[in-house]
Amino acid sequence: MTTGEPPPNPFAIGLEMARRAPPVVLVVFGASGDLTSRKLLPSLAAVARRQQLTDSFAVVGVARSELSDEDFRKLAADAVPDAGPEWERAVSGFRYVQGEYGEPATFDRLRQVLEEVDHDRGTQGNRVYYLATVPDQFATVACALGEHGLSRPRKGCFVRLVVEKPYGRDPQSAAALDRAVHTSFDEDQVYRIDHYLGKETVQNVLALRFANAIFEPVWNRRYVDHVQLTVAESIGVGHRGGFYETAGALRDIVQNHVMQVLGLTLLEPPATVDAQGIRDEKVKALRAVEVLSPDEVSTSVVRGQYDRGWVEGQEVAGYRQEEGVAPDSHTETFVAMRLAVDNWRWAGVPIYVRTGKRLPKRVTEVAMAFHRVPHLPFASSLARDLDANSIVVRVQPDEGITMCFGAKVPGPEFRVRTVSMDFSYGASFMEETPDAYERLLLDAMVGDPTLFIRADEVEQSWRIVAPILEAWEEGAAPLARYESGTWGPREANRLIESTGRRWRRP
Amino acid sequence: MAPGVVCRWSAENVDLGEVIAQAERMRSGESRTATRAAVVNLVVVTAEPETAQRARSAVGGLGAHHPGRIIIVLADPDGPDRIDATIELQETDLPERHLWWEVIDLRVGGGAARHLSSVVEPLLVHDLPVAAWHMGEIPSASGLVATGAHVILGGDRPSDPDQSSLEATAALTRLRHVTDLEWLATEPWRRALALLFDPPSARRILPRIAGARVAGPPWRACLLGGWLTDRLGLAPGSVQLEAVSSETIVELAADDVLVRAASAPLGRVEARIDDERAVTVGGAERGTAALLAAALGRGGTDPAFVGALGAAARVER
Repeated sequence: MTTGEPPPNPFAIGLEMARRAPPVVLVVFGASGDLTSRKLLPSLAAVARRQQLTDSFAVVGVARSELSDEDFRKLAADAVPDAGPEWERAVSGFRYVQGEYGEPATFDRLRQVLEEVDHDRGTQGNRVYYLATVPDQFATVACALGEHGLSRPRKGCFVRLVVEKPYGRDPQSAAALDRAVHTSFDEDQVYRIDHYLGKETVQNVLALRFANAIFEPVWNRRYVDHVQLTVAESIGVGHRGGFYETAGALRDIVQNHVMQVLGLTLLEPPATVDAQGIRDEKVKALRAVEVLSPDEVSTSVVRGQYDRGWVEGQEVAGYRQEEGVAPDSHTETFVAMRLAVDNWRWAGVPIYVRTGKRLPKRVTEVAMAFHRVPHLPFASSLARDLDANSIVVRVQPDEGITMCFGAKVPGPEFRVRTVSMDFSYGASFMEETPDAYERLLLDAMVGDPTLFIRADEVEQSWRIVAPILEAWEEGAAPLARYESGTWGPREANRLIESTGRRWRRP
Repeated sequence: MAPGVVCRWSAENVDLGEVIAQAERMRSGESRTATRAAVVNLVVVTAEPETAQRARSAVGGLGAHHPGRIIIVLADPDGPDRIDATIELQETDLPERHLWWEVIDLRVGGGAARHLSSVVEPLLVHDLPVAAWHMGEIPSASGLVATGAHVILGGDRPSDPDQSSLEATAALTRLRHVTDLEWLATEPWRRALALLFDPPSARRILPRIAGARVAGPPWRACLLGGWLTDRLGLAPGSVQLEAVSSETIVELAADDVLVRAASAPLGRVEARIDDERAVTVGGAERGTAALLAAALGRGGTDPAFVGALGAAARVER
């Protein structure tokens, strides 16, 4: 072998070489849990199948369950049957550490296993720790990693920490978690994950706005009458009743997913679409969202809870009849709210947010509803079917963009009605869309934090959400009930209809 | 009607205006309930009825992956002045993907066959990009249809590569965005070698490679030989080509090391350095339809293809 710098790879020119993870160990805390089997392992298998993992990759699972290395490998193989030779090769190097997160011996053993993996698989001291445990354990694990000298990278290596949501259950607990994490990790090592940001269509909001000359000029108060953001689920709480009782829709959906999508929708054009550019602008946008006073919470926020009803042809139980839910529960399964944004671009444009369980269908979308034309030169009787223009970004399930505008109905009269022009991802791109977790796991291993949430974003989300929780605790916005399979309580309709607007039917 | 065909219209000795009107009626018919595929116009031009038939087989179902409209033109410049047309509205059979597209089959004879652009242009769906697939002979500049179209070559080439066909292809790349299906077919071997030499430690071998052997179907072997010559800066005589109809094999020889990329089970290519480091990639057994779908997704002429063409003309066959 000769010494010195090797030549560049001459064979790579002209080939679209996929991004590949560098040599790395992914350490999963909560390795025997549901998230690991259901999401993390299948996503890693997909990344492996696309040749985006090198041979110098391994997973070390850490959990309380009594498993051997071989048991964990079987668990990984069973989680993704028929995943192909790349996954089989990767799984053959997986290791497992059994132990309590509060026990120093667990982390002594982890250090020893990591050194063995570095030696056996050539992972070079690079680590990504993934906290897939119950949230109560996040701080314990983060601190223990620091105390055992596992949080700081050796020279030329990297160590990162991926933290699942929820990031605290109020501003105080979020700040306490941040303090605990920062005793061991610098902020640039911390990757707070919200899988919504890994969805292609959420990222497409940026493409729509900043890759097209026709949309961004109208994306402001001068043309936009109001914004509607809907995150609707048709399912109930299922087996998550116990967890949901401690969370509710505001913490479970609004504090994270809704605020992230809102940030991307409202942000100013970043200088560059990179981690700092995007996240700086998101923080600025969220900072401009006005905090509601207790009185405003009463008039601008509706909280609801589903009763029994019919969804997708099936009769379903009410929330209070669900497993793990108190029969007199006051936890909200639905939130509708009107927010205001105090900045040059959005001043005076109400932002309507609605999220809930047991709504008629599963749909997530952002709709920009535009002002009506100043003067309609047609007989009003002939333009009865004409709505204001809108642009709708459908995040799921039928990903795409719809533009609604007026067109003349063919015929002798000048009748005008609203028509929609659909762009469907499914009709234009047949490429396999990577699952959100696939994208985000690879980003964490590659070291691209663009789609992860920074501490100041979490802080801004809680700044908006916490006063609502506090007002509710003081009795503002009584719990309204709604029949399963409807779009929420009547109060939600009144919230928007009192201003002459109405909810879209997604 | 054949499976997937929603409706069909056919006419002989027809005016082109009638074909255009019929295509539009089908595309925007009142009974339309599915999403219209709207990505690209694909034009297939051939002078051979057998080639046109093979094109029909290859594009069957392709609409579900790419085009908004497929136009197959069988040109017969020496035949009588007439146009026969068949239009089929087809629907994908993929679950929960109700996509429709049109396949327009034209038999063009006489003067119109010598001015095919005048036949094709009015039938293109507006504002969509155009790809023109020349399955057989490499077209001359005057034989190109649809201004600015992405040219796709290969799939049914009548002869082995020689100096003139390589030069004609190279000339086309200077005029249009060109994608060659035989070149795309070599991608798994190229990708496997690229992945094999991705680690810097492996790349230290490259300066010591003095010769190569490529065995495979003639166009594939020729392009791979040209690619290796170009990428490694090898002397033209140091690459040995072997035309065989069976599997494709690439071997690179350094003083003490043998690098080999060859077919592996399950449609994969395995590349290895001696018996140590190995990588595998998929896609080795893609048929014409899959290669065509891949070609339609290409954004511009691959610079490595241009380099390979130039070098292939110098490689001894």
